[in-house]
Amino acid sequence: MTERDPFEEKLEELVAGLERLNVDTKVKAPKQEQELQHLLEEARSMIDDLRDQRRRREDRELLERLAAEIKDSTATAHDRLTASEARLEHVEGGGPGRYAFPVNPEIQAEAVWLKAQLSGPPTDHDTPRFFKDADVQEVPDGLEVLSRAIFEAAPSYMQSADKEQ
Amino acid sequence: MFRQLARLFLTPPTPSSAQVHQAVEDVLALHPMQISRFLEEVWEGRSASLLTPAGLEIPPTVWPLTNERTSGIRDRVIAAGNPYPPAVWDHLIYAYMVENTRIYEVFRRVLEEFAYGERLGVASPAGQAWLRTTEALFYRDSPPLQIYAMASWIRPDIRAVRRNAYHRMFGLDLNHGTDDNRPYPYPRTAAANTDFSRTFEDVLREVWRAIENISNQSGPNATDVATIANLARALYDMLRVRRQEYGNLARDELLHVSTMAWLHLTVSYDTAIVRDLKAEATSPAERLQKIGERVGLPAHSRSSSYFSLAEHMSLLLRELELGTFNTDLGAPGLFSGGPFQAAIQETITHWSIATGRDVKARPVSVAPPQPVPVRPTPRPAMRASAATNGYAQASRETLGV
Repeated sequence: MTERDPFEEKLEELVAGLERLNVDTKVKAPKQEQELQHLLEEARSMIDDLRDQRRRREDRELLERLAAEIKDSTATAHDRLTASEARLEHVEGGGPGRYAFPVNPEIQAEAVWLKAQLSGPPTDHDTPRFFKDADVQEVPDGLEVLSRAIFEAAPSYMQSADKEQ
Repeated sequence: MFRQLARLFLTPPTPSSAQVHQAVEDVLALHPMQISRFLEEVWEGRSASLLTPAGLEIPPTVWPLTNERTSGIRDRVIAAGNPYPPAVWDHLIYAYMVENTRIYEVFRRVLEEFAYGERLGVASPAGQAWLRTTEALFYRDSPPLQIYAMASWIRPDIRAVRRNAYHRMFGLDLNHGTDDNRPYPYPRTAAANTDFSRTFEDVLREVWRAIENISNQSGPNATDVATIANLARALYDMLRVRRQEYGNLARDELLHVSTMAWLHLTVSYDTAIVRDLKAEATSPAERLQKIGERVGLPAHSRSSSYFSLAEHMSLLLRELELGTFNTDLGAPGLFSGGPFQAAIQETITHWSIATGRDVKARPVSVAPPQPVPVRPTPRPAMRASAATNGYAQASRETLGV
């Protein structure tokens, strides 16, 4: 039996190691690439989310500024309208319950007098009877009606005895 | 007139329904002589603002004057705390509107039925009193010397007398003719206010626009006060031309208004004669409708609107005849609140119902197309001549001949 050359053994070990490395490289490299791709996608997604959040925050701030400005503008318009109406009331003598044209109190008094002279008696239509003002009638129950009927039908001496008791 | 009297029988301010009903029955139960003298008292005590002729009252030298002017009504009215007699009566338009319901003809049939037979049953004592008073005062020739006496040999038909007055004052005829649907014959005159209806409708239209804009203190306001005042003046002129300063037609008005007020009051409640006719209902128009059915003469289907128009137009025209709304200062009285505005609003509503013309709608007029401006063809200063032989020929235009 021939002895193995230690150098040869070393070479064979080296070849076996290279083969393992070769196998490992072939098996592990796609996995690593996949992981790398996944990590890259996550990182990009996080960047997108970050940008989206920043944009939303900016939009919200913009809306808040816009709402505040509209509120200020409305308040200003309201104040100006109030001031304008106050001036108009001062100039025209108008106000709540007043009309665009002046009413002659003499004519109003004449209207009331003439109306009173020419009107007839009040009719039923003039004074409606509301539900809320109507009397509510109490209806006696059956036992009360029966007892009253018996009492009224009873002979007078029984009623007087009842009263004495 | 009699509706006012029923009110004067009541103690203000809020009489009960039973008291009102009793007051109405009391008025309708008055003796015809009392009613006759009541009308004399009303004429005597009329307001100085009413356009009426003077000197028609019973002279104080006639003895015994007190009998002719004493109706026996005064004490009761005074005791109720009211003034007596009524100072103003309704305008003639009241009689016109109420008569348009055909109430006079319906009750004429009622009187005939009770007079000639028992088809409608036998009237109660209160009903018989009403029949007697109604027939004595409003369906026969009046006593010749009373203020309300109208029918005579000259004008024997009181219905024609009324139609004549309506035509002269308003240019309007009643909406019904004779019972067999022929035009009712009555004397017409050329001097009649034929523009009344159109002008009054214009007033209603303008006032409605004003009421729509009543609260517009700033911004556009389509109210045209000057137009309202002008239209009111046009109506005033029409009515005053008929009246003149001497109160023409005043006696006619007193009688016609009284006649219609008596009948109107009769159907205003479930009075004795209404109960006798088994025509109880909740409104004057419904009662009249039922009575019309009983006697075979249907009342107008829009009687409710006519009754309403009668009351409200009377108020308006009575004041309008004084000229109150003829100026820019007075015209707002028609639409700036108060009883006049309420009356004209009711009038607008019921006028539209009764006539079928919507006065709340804006009038639409189809204007003819505007003519296209035509540029005149320029004329040559010099007329071209066929053969001038090199010289320009002078025309007539250039010479100014």
